[in-house]
Amino acid sequence: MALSQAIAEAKATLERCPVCFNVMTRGEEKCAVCLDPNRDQQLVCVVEQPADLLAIERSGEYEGLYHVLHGALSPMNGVGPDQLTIRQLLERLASGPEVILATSTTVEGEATAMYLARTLGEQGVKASRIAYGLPVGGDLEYADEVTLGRAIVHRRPV
Amino acid sequence: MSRRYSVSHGIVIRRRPLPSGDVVVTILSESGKWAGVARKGKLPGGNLGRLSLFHDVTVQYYRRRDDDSLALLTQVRLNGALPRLSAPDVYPYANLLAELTDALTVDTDLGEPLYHYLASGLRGLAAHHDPELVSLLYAWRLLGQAGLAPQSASAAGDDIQPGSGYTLDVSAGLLHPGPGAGLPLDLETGEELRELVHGSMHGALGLPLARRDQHWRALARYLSYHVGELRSLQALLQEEGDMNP
Repeated sequence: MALSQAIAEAKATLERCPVCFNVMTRGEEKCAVCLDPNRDQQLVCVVEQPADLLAIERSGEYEGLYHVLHGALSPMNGVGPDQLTIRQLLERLASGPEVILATSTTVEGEATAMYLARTLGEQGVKASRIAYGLPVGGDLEYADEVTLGRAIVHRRPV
Repeated sequence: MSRRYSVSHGIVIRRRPLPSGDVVVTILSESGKWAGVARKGKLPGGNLGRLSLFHDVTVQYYRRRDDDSLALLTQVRLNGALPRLSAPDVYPYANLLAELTDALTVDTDLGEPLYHYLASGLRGLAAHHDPELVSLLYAWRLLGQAGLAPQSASAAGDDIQPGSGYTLDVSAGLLHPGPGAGLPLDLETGEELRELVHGSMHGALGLPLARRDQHWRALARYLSYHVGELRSLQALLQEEGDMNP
């Protein structure tokens, strides 16, 4: 009963931010991130879900804005560019901020990032992809082959 | 109520992450299609993170005897991944082949031939300079493996009346020269389609496919009748329409 009430309450009190599509309290102008004047207004980080935004916020390493796509491209599941907030992202970027593509490193997330990189490139928007690498504290021996391979390919000078 | 551990090897053709962090995957193996759940499969770095779409994997799973619930995946080993399948000019076609394979294995156990054709098709998409051609070729060949490809009423080298084209009779499953009930195709497209369906793989991979719009229309009409609507194909046709209104 408490759970169903909480779900109903959440639905009644939350909506999507009209700028970045993060969740926010219903009735507010924008979400807390978009309203924060101390944020770097020239940097937009694109994520798949609001939970990804929270994960990046927890890192404490990012001070720009966000854009939540609410999914990743998946043609076999009927999810194309029109089902995500890509059009709104492109409209938003007409003013020229730099974009960080922080979609998941799954095949679907990679495909979405590559699609966005191509589309943004055509618009002359500067875009970068989050780095691939090994989890901190993990042993190399136990890393999966794809992660390890990408860490080698995308190695950086020290 | 004993539990049974098994090992299987196959390609991930669907992957559905759940809010809990679990992932439900559909795997096509040589012995057929089956689904399983990977607890916390969304976690990066763990071996269940290898369960990405189109990955070729060996998995250990257990399932209770006499229980039709989903198998629980416990270990995963990656046998092969094709990073190029994420590229924008390849990804939609890889989705089409995976969705078609999924649709073709709904009611029948066609695991072995379809597994090999899908694996070959995905490798072709990743390696060939013309992924659109590869996707059309393998879509027809997958249909052929399922016994659904159109029969051809003519062979290469037959004299076809100049000026006449071909007809793809979708309901009869027949591709024949000349007019008739069905989808009309020009001469070149009809002959290319015959090669795509019945010719050698090597020869078909060298076809120019001058009228690709006709090829997609033929495939869409045929699939719609024999298999059902495929979402990935609808997306491709929409994109084609957007580019060539």
